Amino acid sequence: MITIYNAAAVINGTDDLNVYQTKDFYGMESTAAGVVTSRYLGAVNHSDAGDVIALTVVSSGTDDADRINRIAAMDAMVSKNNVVNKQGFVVAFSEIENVKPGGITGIAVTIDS
Amino acid sequence: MKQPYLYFGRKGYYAFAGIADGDYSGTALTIANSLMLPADIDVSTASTGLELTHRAVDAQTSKRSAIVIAAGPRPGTAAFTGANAFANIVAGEVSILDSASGFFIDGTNELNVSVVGTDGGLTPTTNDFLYLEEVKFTSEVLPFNATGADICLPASSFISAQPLAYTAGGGIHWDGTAQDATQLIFKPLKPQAGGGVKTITMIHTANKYKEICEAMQDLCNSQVTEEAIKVHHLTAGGQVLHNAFSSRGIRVYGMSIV
Repeated sequence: MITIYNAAAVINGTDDLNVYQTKDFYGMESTAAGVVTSRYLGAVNHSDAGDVIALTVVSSGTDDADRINRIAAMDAMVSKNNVVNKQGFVVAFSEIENVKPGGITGIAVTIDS
Repeated sequence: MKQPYLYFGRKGYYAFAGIADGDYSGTALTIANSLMLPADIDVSTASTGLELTHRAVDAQTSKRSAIVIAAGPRPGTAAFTGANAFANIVAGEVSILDSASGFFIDGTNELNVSVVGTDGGLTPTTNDFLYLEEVKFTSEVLPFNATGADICLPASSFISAQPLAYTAGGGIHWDGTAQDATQLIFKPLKPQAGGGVKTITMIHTANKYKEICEAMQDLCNSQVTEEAIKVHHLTAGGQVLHNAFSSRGIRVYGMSIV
């Protein structure tokens, strides 16, 4: 499957709309109170850092509530990565289409160089 | 490819031999020895997520003071039965040391047990063992909200499981349960020149390596694909362990993600 991430309403940069093969998804981890960091094989195909997609979720002020929000975001991405849709792309997150699953409010893509 | 994803969260666990003055400065807590890095915890502030416990190997006379007697034994362990209003310690007794700000951890992750020795409390022997255990999700213990705190990995990243011995604390939990360790090896979160893996080390009930492999097989073959399978993590309410493990008699005492 092909998974799409659209980070911005205006698409004019390499980190605004990114496309990955689902099988190239390496996993996720918490990296801040309101951030889950997910990783894919880099678009440049280096044996290096890979591409990083930071998923921003609501950081409410209580540690346990933040933990629950981050897990909800991870669950949403697991669900997206398990969608079987041979007729089209799987939209994991989109600002333009307002597809924001699991309480994810925004994403930021860092492409390996 | 439709597949399960496995979610793991860290849990600190440190078993160590007793010393008379309780000052463990010089032996910093590390991920390698305790699976955690407790932050600077002041002696005047009782920890919300850490428990400190003493397991007596030796019998002693007049080595337990009123503050420890008042805290009582850990629930589920034998009642204090020594003489002198329980000041005498009987071998096998288990005491709570984390009440009344019983310990502190300095800025370099060094532990000092303030309820032993001259401060009054309990004096362990060098044959005795103490246990510092993370029991709740708390920002006091690092890594917190950072790499090494938790991880969610596709089942297809699982490479191998390796059995290890666990000998700290005599390889025995404070409740008398024997322990072993196992490493679960996964492909890394990012491609690395020359290789590299993610290693999840768990301290668990002894002689359960085969059962852990069975549990991993169950989880990796699961049809749960709409959300991550929560294998193990801590919450504000305590520990969560997947039934694939707990139903096989596996208790997890500590877990690190490196």
